[in-house]
Amino acid sequence: MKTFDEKLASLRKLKLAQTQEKIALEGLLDEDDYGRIVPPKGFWKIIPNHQDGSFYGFDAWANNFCDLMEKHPVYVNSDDAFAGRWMYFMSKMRPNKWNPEYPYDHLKPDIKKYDIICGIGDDAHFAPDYEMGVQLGWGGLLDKIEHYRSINTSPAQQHFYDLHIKVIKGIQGWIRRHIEKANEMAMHESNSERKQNLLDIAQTNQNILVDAPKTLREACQWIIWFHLASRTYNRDGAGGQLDSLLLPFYEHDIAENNIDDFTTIYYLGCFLINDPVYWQIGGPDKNGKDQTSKISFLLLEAADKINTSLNITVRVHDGINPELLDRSVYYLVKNKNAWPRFSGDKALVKGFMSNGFSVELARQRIAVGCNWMSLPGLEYTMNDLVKVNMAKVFEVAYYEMIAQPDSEYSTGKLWKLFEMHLTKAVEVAAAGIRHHLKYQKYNEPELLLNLLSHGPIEKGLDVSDGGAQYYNLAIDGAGLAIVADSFAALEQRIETEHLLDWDEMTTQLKADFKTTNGQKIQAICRNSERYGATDSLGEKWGEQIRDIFTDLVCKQSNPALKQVFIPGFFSWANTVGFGLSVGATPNGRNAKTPISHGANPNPGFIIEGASLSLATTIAKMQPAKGNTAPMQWELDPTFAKEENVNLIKAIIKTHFRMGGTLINVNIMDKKKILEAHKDPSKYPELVVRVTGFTAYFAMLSPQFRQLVVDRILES
Amino acid sequence: MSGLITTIQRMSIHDGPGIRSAVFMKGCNLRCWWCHNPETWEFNFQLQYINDKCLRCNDCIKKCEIQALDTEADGIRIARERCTLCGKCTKVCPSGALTMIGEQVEAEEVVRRVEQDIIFYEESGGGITLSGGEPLMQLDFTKKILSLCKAKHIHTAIESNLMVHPKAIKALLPLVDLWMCDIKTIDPATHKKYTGVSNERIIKNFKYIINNNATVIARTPVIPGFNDTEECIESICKLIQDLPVKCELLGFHTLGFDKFCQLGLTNLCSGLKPLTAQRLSELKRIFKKYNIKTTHENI
Ligand code: SF4
Ligand code: SF4
Repeated sequence: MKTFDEKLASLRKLKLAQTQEKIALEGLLDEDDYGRIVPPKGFWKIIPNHQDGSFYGFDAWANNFCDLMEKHPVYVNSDDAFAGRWMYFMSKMRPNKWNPEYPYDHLKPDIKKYDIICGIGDDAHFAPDYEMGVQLGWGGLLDKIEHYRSINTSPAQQHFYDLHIKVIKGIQGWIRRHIEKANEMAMHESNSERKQNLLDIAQTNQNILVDAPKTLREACQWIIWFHLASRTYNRDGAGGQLDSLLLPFYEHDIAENNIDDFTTIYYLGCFLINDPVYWQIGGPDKNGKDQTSKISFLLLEAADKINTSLNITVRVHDGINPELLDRSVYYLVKNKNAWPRFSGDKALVKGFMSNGFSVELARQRIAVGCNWMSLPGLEYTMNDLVKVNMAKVFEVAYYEMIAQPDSEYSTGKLWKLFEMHLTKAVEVAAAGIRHHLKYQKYNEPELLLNLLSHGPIEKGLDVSDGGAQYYNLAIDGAGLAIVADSFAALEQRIETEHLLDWDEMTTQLKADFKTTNGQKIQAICRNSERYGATDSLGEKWGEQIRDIFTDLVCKQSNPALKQVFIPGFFSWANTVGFGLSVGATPNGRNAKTPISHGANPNPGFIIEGASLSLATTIAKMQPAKGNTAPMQWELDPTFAKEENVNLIKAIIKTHFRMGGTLINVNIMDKKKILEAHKDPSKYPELVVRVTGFTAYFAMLSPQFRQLVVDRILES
Repeated sequence: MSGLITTIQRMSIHDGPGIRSAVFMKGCNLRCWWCHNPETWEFNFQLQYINDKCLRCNDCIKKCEIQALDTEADGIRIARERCTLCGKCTKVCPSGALTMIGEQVEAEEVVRRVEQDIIFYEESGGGITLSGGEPLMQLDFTKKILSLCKAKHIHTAIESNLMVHPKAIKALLPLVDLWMCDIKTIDPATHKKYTGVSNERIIKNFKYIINNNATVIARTPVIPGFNDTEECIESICKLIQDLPVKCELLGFHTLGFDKFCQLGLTNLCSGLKPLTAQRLSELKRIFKKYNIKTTHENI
């Protein structure tokens, strides 16, 4: 008889093998690990409805999804407590992601000029309300749709409801096939324990096919089905407040004597290994009361047992259960596997409230995405989808100045031009968002996320199209440190010290420092007062950039349309791509090399006490409107030891006290990361937190691995 | 009131409890062979040259008006006997290979910089540590920094070799929350050979601060061939076994070796291997035998 621990260990082993298979068959992927496994070859293809080979609009999405649900392979494993795995990435299988009938050619020249990631046609990136899901179940959701179907009677609304009903029935069909499969496997299973587990899987699923879940196992399985369906539809990976979500079911089972903590940990382990969805634990409820409960700790214990790629965020607030923070940091240090991460309640709440929202609402805006917060079920956000490459904007401004007579050259003049172009770039990004909001329903309606949102079903409108209660729209700035350091180098080396002049600088930039004295000039540029060091010129410029960017984004808000634009500093995995479009910069960066991460300083910014400088600088650089500028923390393994848990905790808490919003941590041995870079297959279990997301190191492309390696080596 | 420091190290975690800022004072009255901060020895500025960083651009040579710099087969040679420490070469060095060690700084400025991390000290139970060099050799400067910190409720610690006049110690007693004092060996002759001074005064001062109810950590750097024997450690244990102090054994390491060459100094420990973790824990057991409390054990 296998113990729970043995079952979890075999699931973990299987997951590693599945990941290896994914790399072998699909190649490298600079993305989240997800829980996706490789589907059988040629099993399913999209059904296009447009001559460009893609599919667009309500009907096409419903048809494609339901067709896939009908044919989707089933997945049942006798060691697992739950059925189902994610295999298809429907939205990615399209050759084109924006319906050409709704062109944005008028925006394209500026999108290119400023290297903007415009987000037009991008999907998900806001959070469903799982609580509604587990309360209603599929049957309850169908009843809700029928109820509003009888109220909202326009043909468009009727059709809207029909398609959502179709989608739910598609999912129910998929679940039904798993029930059949589990029963069939049970029939052929000779081992009595495995047989029983398969029968339990079948029964659990039978119980939630229509009705809402009642037990912890049923609730976990229900949540898994929703996220598997939603992942399949368009990669949505947002979770919710996991401990509070599961607590009533756990308490029910305990009261009924159905469960003990060993079983709970086993269920939670199986649940977490299914998919690294972004979950939050701890943190205040809307009235400020800490939400930590027994199940918060059991979740951490389960996570420790599977210790794969995990996206669990601990919300740190004044009233946090101190033991939860202790345990979280303990597991971070023990496993050195980039989980959990931490979000800072104080600054997030205060920032979000500054947009005119109540404290109760602000507390509900929780960590459910890569770098982002969302109000589950209440808002449409385009979080992490729209980014302005500020390094590119700087380059445009620099060469515009250089084209003028040299009497005009100064950092003052350059700043004015930068400001002007950044204004334009932010306007274009916002115009892109508005274009997206206007036409996204004709492109890619959110048939899954609509179901767990408050509003779309009630109004008969897609969440992108007025269905949501709030439109809190994110625009991120990228490359802050590159721009700050470039301004600092110009001011210090040209204007103050006269070590260089503008012509020399321009010559070097155009030649990418590849001249006879290029190496020397590059060193002069690199050693100027860098952003991240206290009282530095880099910091002064950083603050100026933070202020102007924040102001420009906020100005795009439109209260009449209930549109609030919220700035953040986050570059996700785009640091590489953004870098490719920017030539050499005055901070000594070579052409086409990656730009800096979010609000993080450029690597090697300071020799001593880097962790404190990092924590201080990034806390200071927050746009402070409710979105994040995460602290990407490469923690030295010689420090990240059990005896230093209190010190690490102190840095985390202090960062949040000073205004920090999110901390992503890597604890990586330098030697190990170098070896893994040379031969990733030797370290199939090595997980890194690339930015907000974790990934198996072996899954990253060589270029991306290099980026992670550089960051760790220079930390 | 100003003084000479080498650097202020933020997030120092080996120099007292919590997260601390360690202020390294420049100038020391001892010359311990194993010192890993030789840049703090001189009571004056020092020119440091890091060969690995040098771009061989020779701008420094052009800048030196008294020709104290020249090229050699592998980088730059400094004629230190001629160098006036004017610092002109360091100003033009693009790479940071040539730097001037030492900063003359006001006590208020030291505290201003240290104070920036006060929030980290509060959260972690940390504070400021005056280290060196020998902080008590710049007594007035040290006193001023400590009293400014006290006024701001910053926890104060000092690392001292105690080879100073008791009056200096007396003056600081009310300002120091934690004394960290080296007890390197009990034997005066060995002490003199490896540090340049005998240890009678040190031990006397050590007892003096304890008698004045100060909080004290006795630290023993364990150096192979100098004091890494059971007998030597036992004799230290006998000295402190009945005293209200905690102890720390610090294993010898070679992390400061490069600095000797960069500063043009002779490293008398050259070739010596770091103390193994195993040997260190063997010696730590002796402390346990004597029932002596040790603080968290870091090297
Ligand atoms: S410090 Fe002055 S005298 Fe000494 S080497 Fe440099 S330039 Fe020459
Ligand atoms: S100026 Fe600096 S980089 Fe150039 S040769 Fe001298 S020490 Fe080397």
